[in-house]
Amino acid sequence: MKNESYFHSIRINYEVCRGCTHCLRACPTEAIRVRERKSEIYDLKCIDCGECFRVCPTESIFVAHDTIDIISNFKYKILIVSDNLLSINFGRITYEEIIKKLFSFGFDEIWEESIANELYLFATEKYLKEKNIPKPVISTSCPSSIRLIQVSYPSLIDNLSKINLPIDILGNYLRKLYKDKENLGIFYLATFPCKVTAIKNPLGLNKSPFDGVFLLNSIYKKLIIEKFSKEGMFFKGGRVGTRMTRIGGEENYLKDFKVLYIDGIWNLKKFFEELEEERIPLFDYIECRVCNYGCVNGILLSNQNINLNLFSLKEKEKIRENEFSSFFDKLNLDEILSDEIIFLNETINPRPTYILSQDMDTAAKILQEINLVYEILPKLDCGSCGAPSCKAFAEDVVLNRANIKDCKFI
Amino acid sequence: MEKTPLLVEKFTIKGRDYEHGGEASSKIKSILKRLGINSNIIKRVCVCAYEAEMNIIIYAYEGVMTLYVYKDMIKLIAEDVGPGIPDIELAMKEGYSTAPPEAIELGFGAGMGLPNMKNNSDRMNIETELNKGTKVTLEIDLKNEK
Repeated sequence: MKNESYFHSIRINYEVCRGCTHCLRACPTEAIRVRERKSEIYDLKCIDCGECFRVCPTESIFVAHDTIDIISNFKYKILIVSDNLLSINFGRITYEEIIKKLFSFGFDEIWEESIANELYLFATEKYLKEKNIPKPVISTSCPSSIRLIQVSYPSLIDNLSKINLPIDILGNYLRKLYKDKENLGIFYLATFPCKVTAIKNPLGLNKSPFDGVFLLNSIYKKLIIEKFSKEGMFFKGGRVGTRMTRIGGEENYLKDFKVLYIDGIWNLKKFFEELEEERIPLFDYIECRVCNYGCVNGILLSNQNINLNLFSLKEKEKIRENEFSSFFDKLNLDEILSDEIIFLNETINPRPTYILSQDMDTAAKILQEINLVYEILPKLDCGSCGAPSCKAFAEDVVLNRANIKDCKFI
Repeated sequence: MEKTPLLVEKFTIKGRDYEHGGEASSKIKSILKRLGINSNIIKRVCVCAYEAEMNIIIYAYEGVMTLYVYKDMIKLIAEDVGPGIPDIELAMKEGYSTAPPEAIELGFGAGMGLPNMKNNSDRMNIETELNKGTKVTLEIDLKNEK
């Protein structure tokens, strides 16, 4: 098996972590264990969804990112801003003012991710018209959904769309458009850990078009407090691209196809289970988002109210002048949507963490041992042993990752 | 021919328990995933297990599904206490169903259960006795696909 290293943007600050087990149970892939009163993440299982980040009461989970000073290493600097920046509440400061403040960091151009979303939708529409693709096609616009399939539902890998992430399509396009620009730097302003991971460790793509990724929470205070402001070249998306920030945005555009949308990690897990068992009626396309309501808000700012932000996002969608970005008006779309820009260029491999042993005989023995250990456990799933459930603990014991004495009831 | 299985798991299923329909086959799926069995095989076993499970729920009073994992094959035995099948040949016909109205209301009873099992297994055997019960044995070979 190929040894892959897994970069994760989700990290734990061991100085602060007190091993309280909140994250343990929030993790949809059971990737967290508490050892000696500190949380630990299994690299192979983590999908960077950030569910642990949301529930951590001590702020000991953080997201790795680049610092904004790195842009000084580049001559021509382009920033792509997360589509949900539009939904985020900056108090009295308007979105337009925030963009002007971002320019003052030294960017030459700022592009909205909603343009990338529109390119993704055009590419997806084209892909769905192809013959002999396994249906339903599963959306690749949510990096954590792809990783969830890779970790827990590998039989669905073939159903994954072969289209790049929206930001990678735009990034690839900008690389081609500005290939003559000397020392070009392309950056992304993220509001999710999954996007940081997608840029630092792309899946299905041999090289990310980005040179760096920043987090909104690391510059939020600066954007609010400081008075700086600068004009610059700002490229806006249309209503269709903006609509993709929230769930249903892909369905909204792909009207010729039977599209089902699913949001929320636990809904998604239940759906993938049933899809794996072939108990779902046939759809052309599955739009999936790990976060409730889609990408509204981001998860990095705790002062945001998702429902209020959803409301203001809808208001802002309505007043977008165009259906699609006016940037496309004078361009030949077929030229932008060339294969090397829109398609993934590497296969996505499963991360078979659930296989107990490559040898079926051994695996069956381990499974039986796990069941025996499970039988003597209290089945309270209390988390005191450091595992998310008694089942997981039984497995850890059999695989020598934990000692049976770690259970407080034995 | 009978060898000792690597693994045996039993699942009890109650008749008319529509809201839990599919739970046994989900559990079977997760066991097979952990054993590292090829996903195409798992899909076929899943279809068989689900149809067998739903048949018990729809038609029988109660039943037990047993999963046997051998080195070269997966065997499912679904045994129920129930009305039995009066005419197996007719029951094997696609679209033929004697499902009660409530099952049809829920979208089951399309008459595809037994044909689906046949199509997804390598060997299928039905033993049935009227007003006593039915025993369906399904075998799926592991060698076919890799």
